Amino acid sequence: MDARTRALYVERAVWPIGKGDRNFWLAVVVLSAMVAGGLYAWVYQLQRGLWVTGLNQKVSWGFYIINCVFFIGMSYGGAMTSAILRLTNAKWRAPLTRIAEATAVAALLVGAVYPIIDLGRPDRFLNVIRYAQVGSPIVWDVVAIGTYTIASFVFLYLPLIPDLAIAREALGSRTRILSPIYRVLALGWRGTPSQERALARGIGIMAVLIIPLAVSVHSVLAWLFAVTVRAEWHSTIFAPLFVLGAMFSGVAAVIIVVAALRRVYGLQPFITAKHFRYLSYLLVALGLAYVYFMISEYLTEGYVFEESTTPVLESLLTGAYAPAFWSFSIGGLVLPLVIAALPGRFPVARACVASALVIAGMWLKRFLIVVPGMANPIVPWDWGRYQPTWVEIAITAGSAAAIPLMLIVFFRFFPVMSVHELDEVEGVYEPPVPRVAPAFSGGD
Amino acid sequence: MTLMLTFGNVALADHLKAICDVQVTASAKLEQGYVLGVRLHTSDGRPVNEATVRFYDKVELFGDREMYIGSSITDGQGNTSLRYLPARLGTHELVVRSSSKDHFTAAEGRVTFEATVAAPAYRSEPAPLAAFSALVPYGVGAVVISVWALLAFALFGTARGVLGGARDHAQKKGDLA
Repeated sequence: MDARTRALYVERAVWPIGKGDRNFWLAVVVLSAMVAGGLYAWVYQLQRGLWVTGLNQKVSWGFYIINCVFFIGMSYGGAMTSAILRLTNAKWRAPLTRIAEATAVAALLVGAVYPIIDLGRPDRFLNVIRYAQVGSPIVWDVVAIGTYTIASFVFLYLPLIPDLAIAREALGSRTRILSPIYRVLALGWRGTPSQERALARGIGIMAVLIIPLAVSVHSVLAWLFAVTVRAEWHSTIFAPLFVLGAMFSGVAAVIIVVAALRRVYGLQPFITAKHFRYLSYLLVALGLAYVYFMISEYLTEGYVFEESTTPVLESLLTGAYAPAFWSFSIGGLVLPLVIAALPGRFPVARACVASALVIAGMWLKRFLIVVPGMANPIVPWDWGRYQPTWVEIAITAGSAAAIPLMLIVFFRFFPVMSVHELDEVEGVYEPPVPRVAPAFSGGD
Repeated sequence: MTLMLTFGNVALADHLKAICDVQVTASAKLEQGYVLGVRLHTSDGRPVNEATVRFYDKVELFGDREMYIGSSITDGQGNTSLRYLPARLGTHELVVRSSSKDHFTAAEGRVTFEATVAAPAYRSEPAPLAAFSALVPYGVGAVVISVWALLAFALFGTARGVLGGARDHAQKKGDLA
């Protein structure tokens, strides 16, 4: 990469920092309003109890558990994308890793809050710590998610160290307020060989560690279901299915976030159609694997027609949940794979459309795991019914809005693309760090 | 005593009060516990035969309750018995009841005795792989602590390396100056 292109890369990477244009504030206001709506709904629920939701004696897991699995799954894609690209030394990773890592942290923070919302009484969460039972999947979940959260923050921070030093020099007076923060967080980075070695070792450890951590989180989430007595959940395939589903929806989320930030921050010269093609290939590969796992699960159940699992299978294929099931299978699984896999024009748009369908479909899939499984009685009762209320919908919308809000606020303070990683990929390069010219607007 | 009443040209007999005497004796074989003997009779000594007698042991389970331990039927002499091996040692209060039969009233008898013989404590069978399961928490705990240690090393080791490099760099610049 020549000096001019690198200078442009640096300028684009730090362009959002300190920028408070009208679009930024409009986005913050709109997203904050949605988050505030979600918070109001939660306070309403805290005051009146869980009866304001659609949860009931027969279906005691609903939107909140679905969202927990969904958002934590989304975070997995970000972490895995960044880790795998680093470990395979993919040359095209530099503009993507920061966005992927930040998406992972934002989605994880949202997903990890949901079990507390589902508790109804948040203070009861302390009982998990005070009276922890080693044999309880809830305790496994708390430990796994807690460890994964810390690891995600570390994985986000370590590559930031050199970029903060670069940003501080590049932005000059624009970072008067941020400069002391950058100085502290950059730990005196000078790019010396010993510092490079220390950083490379730390990032290498994290890139390797984050993968089994993320696998463990989703496996434990799956075991929350699989170790119960409900036949439709008590399946050995649940853990791999959850892990794969998390990667699938997570990569889709990364594609959407990358596309959005690319457009908003004018990153088109560096995040090109090639990146979206490669991410689409990854999406298709994960999607095909997910189709295989699903066929394996339903074929096994359907061939045997065991008494305990047949009612749920019937409800999914031809019964009350059939519209949702076939919407997911065709609209959320097959169709996006076709859109993403077929060659043609508009790779970015096609990747985005496919990813949006995948995200919607995977949320629906989590719904189809949780609610029919709960509704099917394990004693001779009628089937349960679940109708979410405005409280659950508002909290879901608020938490979904929190992710882009956190991202745009984060990139207001930190570089959106990794400069140091670009140098690693392109070869050691030490030009004088240019001062950033006043903004030129983004847009496609 | 029989009281005859006339009501609409039909004679009715008053109910005779039955009395329930209970006695507890140790069984000939110690491991069989105790024999609860009952004699059901009227106040003038006449036996109450073929009456069902129920035996209860008073226990505490969220309050005072009577635990049903068995029943038997009195013979021609008004006698019956039940073998009982208590579940615990110590003082037991037994309640024996007979329901009303023919022209005999219901009766209740109580007795308290000190049990020096009891059934052996129930020992559940060990769960499959119990020995392995006991070690799993330690294994998992070791893995979790190792992961945390690796995380701490990645973060603080890197920070230490970067800060050390900055220090060396500043020193070199100072030396050159």
